[in-house]
Amino acid sequence: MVENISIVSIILDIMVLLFILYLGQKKDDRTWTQKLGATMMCWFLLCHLAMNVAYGQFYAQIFLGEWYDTVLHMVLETLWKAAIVGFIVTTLSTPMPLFKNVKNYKIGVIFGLSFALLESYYTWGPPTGETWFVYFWPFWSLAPAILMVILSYLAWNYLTSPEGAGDRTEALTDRAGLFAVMALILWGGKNWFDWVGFFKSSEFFYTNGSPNASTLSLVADIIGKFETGMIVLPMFVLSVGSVIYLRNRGSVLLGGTILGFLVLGFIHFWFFSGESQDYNSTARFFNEEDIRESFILLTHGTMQSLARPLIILFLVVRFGMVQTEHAPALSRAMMIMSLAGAMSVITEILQPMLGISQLISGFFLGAILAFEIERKVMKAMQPPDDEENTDWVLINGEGIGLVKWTNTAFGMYIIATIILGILIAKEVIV
Amino acid sequence: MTEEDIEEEVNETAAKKAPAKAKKAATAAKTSAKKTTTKAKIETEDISEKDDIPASLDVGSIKDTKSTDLDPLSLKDYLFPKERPWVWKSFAVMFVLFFGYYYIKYKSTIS
Repeated sequence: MVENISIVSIILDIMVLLFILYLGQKKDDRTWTQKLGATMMCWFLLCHLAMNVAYGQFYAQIFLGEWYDTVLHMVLETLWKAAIVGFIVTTLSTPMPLFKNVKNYKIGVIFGLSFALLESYYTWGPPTGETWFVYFWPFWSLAPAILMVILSYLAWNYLTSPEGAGDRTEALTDRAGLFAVMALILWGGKNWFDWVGFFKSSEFFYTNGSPNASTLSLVADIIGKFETGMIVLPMFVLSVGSVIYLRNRGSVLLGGTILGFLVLGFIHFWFFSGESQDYNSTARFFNEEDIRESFILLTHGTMQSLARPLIILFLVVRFGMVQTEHAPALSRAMMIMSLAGAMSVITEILQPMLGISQLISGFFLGAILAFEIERKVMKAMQPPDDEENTDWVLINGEGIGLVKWTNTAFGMYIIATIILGILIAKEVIV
Repeated sequence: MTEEDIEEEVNETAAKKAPAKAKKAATAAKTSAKKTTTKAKIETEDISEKDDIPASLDVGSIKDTKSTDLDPLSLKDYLFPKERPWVWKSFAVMFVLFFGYYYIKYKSTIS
């Protein structure tokens, strides 16, 4: 029997999205950085949901056969770019605002979204018919790669910090570092199981036909390889950092989790060749007959589908983007459903691999309820009482206005892409 | 405005602005001021309060401390901590080593 685990991810995306939107409506003392972070996480979840529906539940392709097929794919890509920009914005604001001047922030966002729109024109519009056209993703590849560089450095700064929250700078370093570690796992974690395969694959070092064909090909190749490199590098940075962190602070959970990626990567290589897979099928569809595919589903598949909305849930609660005390019962239900959904999928995958019945997930759910594990998890996710939520006065503007401006800019960008898509698909732009 | 009124106004203002300790002192001064009408007494109370916690200076210093706490950190100090100058250097070394290895493999592959 073949099952698609995307449906669990879709449910989690919707649940967490509604959870954030509901709690976001409540009046409380959240700062503008927390409100901005909450809305950016909503953009990510919206994108993840759309991708899950289009490329997961309906398996990789939606061929509607008409002009709106082009528009649909352009919108899906647009949402993904919005998610990338949204995460960059959150990284630069939520743990500690790395900008002070609203004008500079707006210029950066407008530049990023405009470049993303230009990329849509390039990859779907008239340039595709030119002889010099090279198919690559300048923004799509470069933006997340730069994001990974920033996150890796923030995480490295945190993991190598010997004293912890000794003073204000160290406290903010810890805060930004925790965010960075979780964001790195969210963006790159699913590919870390293939890290040996990356080094073994010739494609990692050379793309046939691209280099030296033209300057544009060379640029495309460099950007593509930089992105691939920045998928793997953070894993090494975090691995070294987690050993230092383990020695300094003795946290087995964080260090063990990160080193787990390395170990599972080795297992993937030794027992299952370690090559990159066609993840559109093997990381979504559950095939009980094939242990190799089950392993890929358990690692890459769960990181791609289940882990992402759960990490978003952790981020919004831990960094105070939503305040769960507005709805304790709902928050508890949210946590139980998340844990139960994740366990159900994992035990389903483990069933053919280890001979463990999926029925065990029912016992796990019973344990959660009996021991109130969800309460402990929710309590552990809460931000510390004495933690500083930076609420700095900005130059040339104010924070709440900036949140509205950012969401308006994202909305306008998506509308502009839809219009562009229609004009391209209807061949108005030739 | 009588001297008592002035004194009360001063005391109330100090009580609002100063922290708990100053509030206690102001309340004590207000109570004792009601019991006496002599100018000398008033001056003594006023001066003693100022000597204990100078109202204007105290309020100013609290405000300064608070605004310093909420001031943005210097990005330079934050990203490149002075106590750990090796952080960015070690990160740069890892970055260069990783992409240096990639570049060597890349060159050898295409050649």
